[in-house]
Amino acid sequence: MRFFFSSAVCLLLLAGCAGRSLEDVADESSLARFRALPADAEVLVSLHGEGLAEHFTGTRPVGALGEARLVMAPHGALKTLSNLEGLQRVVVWGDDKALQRLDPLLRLEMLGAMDTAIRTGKTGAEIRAVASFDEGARIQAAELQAMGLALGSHTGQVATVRGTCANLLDLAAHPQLVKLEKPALQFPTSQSGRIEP
Amino acid sequence: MTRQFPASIFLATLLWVMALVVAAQAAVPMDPLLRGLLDKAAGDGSAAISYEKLVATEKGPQGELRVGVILRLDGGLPDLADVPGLVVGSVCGDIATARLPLTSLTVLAGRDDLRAIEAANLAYPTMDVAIPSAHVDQVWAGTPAFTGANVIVAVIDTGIDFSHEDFDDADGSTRILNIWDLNGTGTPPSGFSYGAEWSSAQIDAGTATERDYNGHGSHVTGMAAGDGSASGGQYRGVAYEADIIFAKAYDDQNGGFSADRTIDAMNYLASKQQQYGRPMVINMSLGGHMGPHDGSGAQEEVVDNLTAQGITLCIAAGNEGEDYVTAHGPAAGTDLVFRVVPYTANAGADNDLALVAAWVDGATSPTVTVSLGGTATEAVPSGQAMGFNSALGYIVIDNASGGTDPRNGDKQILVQLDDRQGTDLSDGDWTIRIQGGSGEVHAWKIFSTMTTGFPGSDQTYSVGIPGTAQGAVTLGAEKTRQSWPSIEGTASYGTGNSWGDAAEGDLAPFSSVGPTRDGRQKPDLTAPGMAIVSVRSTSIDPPPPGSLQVAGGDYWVSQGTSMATPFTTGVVALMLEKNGDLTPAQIKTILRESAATDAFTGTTWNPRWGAGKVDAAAALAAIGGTTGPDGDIDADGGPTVLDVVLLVNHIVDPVGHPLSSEARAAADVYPAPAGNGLLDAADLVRIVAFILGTDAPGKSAALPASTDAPLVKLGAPVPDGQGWSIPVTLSGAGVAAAQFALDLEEGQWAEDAVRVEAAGTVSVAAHARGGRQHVLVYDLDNDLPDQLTIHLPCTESALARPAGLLLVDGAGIALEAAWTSPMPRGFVSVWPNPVGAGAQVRFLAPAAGPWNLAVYDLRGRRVRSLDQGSLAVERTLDWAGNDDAGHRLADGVYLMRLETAGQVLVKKVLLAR
Repeated sequence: MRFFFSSAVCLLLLAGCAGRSLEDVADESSLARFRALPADAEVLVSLHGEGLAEHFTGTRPVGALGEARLVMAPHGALKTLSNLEGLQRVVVWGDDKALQRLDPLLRLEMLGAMDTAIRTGKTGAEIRAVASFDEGARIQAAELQAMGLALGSHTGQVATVRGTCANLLDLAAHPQLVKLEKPALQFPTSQSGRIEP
Repeated sequence: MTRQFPASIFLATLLWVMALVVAAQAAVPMDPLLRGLLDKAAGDGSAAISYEKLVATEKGPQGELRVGVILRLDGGLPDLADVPGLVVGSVCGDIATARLPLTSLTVLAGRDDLRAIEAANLAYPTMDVAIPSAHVDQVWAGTPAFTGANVIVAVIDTGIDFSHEDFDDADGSTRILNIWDLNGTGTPPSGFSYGAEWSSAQIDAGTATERDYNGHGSHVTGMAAGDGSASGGQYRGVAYEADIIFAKAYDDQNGGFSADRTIDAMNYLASKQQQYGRPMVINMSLGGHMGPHDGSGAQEEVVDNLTAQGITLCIAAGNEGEDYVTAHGPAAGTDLVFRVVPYTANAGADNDLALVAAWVDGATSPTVTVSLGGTATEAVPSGQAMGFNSALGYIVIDNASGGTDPRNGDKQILVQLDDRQGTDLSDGDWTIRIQGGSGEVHAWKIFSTMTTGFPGSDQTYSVGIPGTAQGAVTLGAEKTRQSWPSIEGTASYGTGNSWGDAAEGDLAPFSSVGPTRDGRQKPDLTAPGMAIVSVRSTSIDPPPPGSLQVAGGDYWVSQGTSMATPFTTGVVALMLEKNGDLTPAQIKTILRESAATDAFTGTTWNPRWGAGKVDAAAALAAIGGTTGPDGDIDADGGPTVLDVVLLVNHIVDPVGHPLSSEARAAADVYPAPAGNGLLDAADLVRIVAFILGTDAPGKSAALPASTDAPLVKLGAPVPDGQGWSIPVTLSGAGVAAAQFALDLEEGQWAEDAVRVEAAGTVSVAAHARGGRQHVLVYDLDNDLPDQLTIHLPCTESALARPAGLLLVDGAGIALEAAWTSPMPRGFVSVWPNPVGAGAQVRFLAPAAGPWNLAVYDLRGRRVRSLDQGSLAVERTLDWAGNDDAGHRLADGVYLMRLETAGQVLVKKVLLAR
């Protein structure tokens, strides 16, 4: 059986961008998150630009939407990634805990919202999410609100929140967060059809 | 000054005299039911039967009670003009119908030209097949009858047509206590920041703007709690006298329920349950398949949280029993065949898609490959998400990119097929190959814009989320009718398809099949869910076809586990009316154990039927009656150990374990036989004596002669083998049956139970809850010494000063206690109290040491921290009745608590705005 996908592995294309640093393509909050991570950490990072390759050597792909790419990369690889041809912006999301805590569908929604914000220059849209905390956690409304999140409600270890991508990334780093999920869409369980007068 | 004679007393006296007159002088034989109505209106306590539920009655223009009668004539209808307010309905031969004020019955009964006066009995609907099939009609007509009165039926759904007559009282006012439209614009509920909430007064005033454009929510609510007014009772819901609270979580724009909104709706309803303090059952006729299906998801956890709070939730199993939405196989190596049925692609890109989610054991890392025909993606390793653009469409494989889910240790795989790059998604049998895993892989179709499914599915594991929640009562659907009367004539399911070919009494073919992914038994049981007639929202856009509309358009027909669910919700409301103390676990157990079984269901739980068909009469019977002997709190026929447990739970936690009025009456057995209006340890002693058979004549004299409170002396904390303990010395006549509670912060109690130092047969029940230690002392043999010492264990001597002791007698009133070591006393005062817009709080922390001032609700939860410090201080501060988040607290009783190193002072505060 032959693989039809021909561009699974691409080399990093550095032409024309040599010498660019992470500071040139990342905002302050991303830089702050990056600097807080140890040098041996894997970093969850999104890449935004035009004509970016599907995959990058040395990184692990964990999401893609349109032109935006979400990868896990070694800490030391971010300088190299910052020099990708066509790259406009790098957003640092966190470490492997952020990857584990953010559900894949929420990641994609956040990736899309970030990309739109970067392309339009507008503030990112609010995103709704469901947060689960560990057994010992006491959900403090004031603490979530201090992160810029709007709290829908909370009971037990579960809270519903809404906020920008930056707010949600801050929440993803909360030491007692277990999971942050895109709210599933559900439907009325009535049936139509098959009725014949 | 003229003293007014109370009108109610006057009216009761008048009716009583009239009843005597009727009994003594009636010239015409009168139906005993009518006499019962007269007796009851006259205030005769012996009239315990709910006559108004057996006889047709209505309210007249002045609010007077009018009664329906059937007149047996003696040669034609006489002139009845002298009977005030009598209106003849019809005459046929020697029978006439009439309605008249109850107060005119005496005049009618005095005539000599009638043969008899009979009550116009209230007939309950029999045309709706579902009601009698589940024996709900027996419950309605029982003695006592149960109709859902004083219970709250709460519904989370697409909206409610609050203007429908079926949701009104007889006087035209709404039975809906509140509506929250989560997508509406207006004033959000207290504690929430969005949407619009309306009260019953606002609904009656016409200011509510909520609408049910879908129609599902109105139909569902009508099933559970509509009173059938618009059909003369024919299409009455199960708990037709329950009150209703509705949360419209449905988003009319995107056509679905977002899980965060349903979570907020559940929390809202829980807050309403606390506000009203009445039994509540929540209906959720909704579901989906995004999630682990093992109870560990966030929404399922919230369901379980509410269940733990005592709220029963009935949730639909789903309608995927014949839709091929599931597949499973060994994760070591299996090909899941996913069929995309030939379809007409939408024009343009990124508008056709299909999404599949699968879950595997997290201990291993299988690879995932997707293929169609001879073309396949590369194998995506675990921990990665990759997209593949191909001539077959765009393929995304997310193979557990986030690793294992910490909540269940499993991994989630997502496969999406779409046309994002402009290439139409190919139809055909796609293969999702899982290799190298362990255990079982379970896959669900989540969503698709075209017809898709797993053709090899055995339909198992198709129960949706949140129906998979551990605490939910999860409902499948059965078929109880084939045809129905529509405005276009008799309509039916036809034949030649699974719905029409299913026999009446058989499972609805669409009913989702269990078990859950982790092997738990779901659904729990089934209920009627095909061709169900219920309320039609006038806002449905577009209106349903005429074949679905019934009885002049006020009702329509629908089917689904959505309908089975509110049917059962109504049954739960009936159960809660009978015993509001039933826990969700008890309710589920009763429903399952009392479920009817037959040749269709089999005799044991199975993944299609669950435990069988809901049987309202059997479920109510399983709860027991309400008129048992003394001590029979649960009315199951006599005093038992369970009655003791119920009473102990109530005494130590009257908020969390409230007893119904009937149960209170049965529990209040001291001094026998009438009780003293209190539920206390003396009652407990006597009930235990009943059970042990020691309550023979004369023996009861050995019980405490009075309920006088014991004298109490508190000692200073002393070290013992475990840490510290507070000696509490009790003496006096009340020692033989005493109860008290001691407040301390959580964590200050040692784990050991209280230790009693006394000779003889002394029983002590101790219960710690939320920092409060409850203690019951009872002596069955009355050989208790005059003095009893109880050591209450605590972890620290300094914080466990006895000044914090709250002693409660049988009436819940604090007792005076003598301190062995005087303590300086502080104080806390709140003015005004009740608190309206705000209040001033004045307090004194009398000595140096850590102190704090906070507000608690009656469940012991701190809702507002007001002040704290470490120096002695007298201070006044303002409090606006808000919680820590700045939200206004709901009206009700709260405790203002000043805690210092040596004492705890508690002031009860009533918020009323």
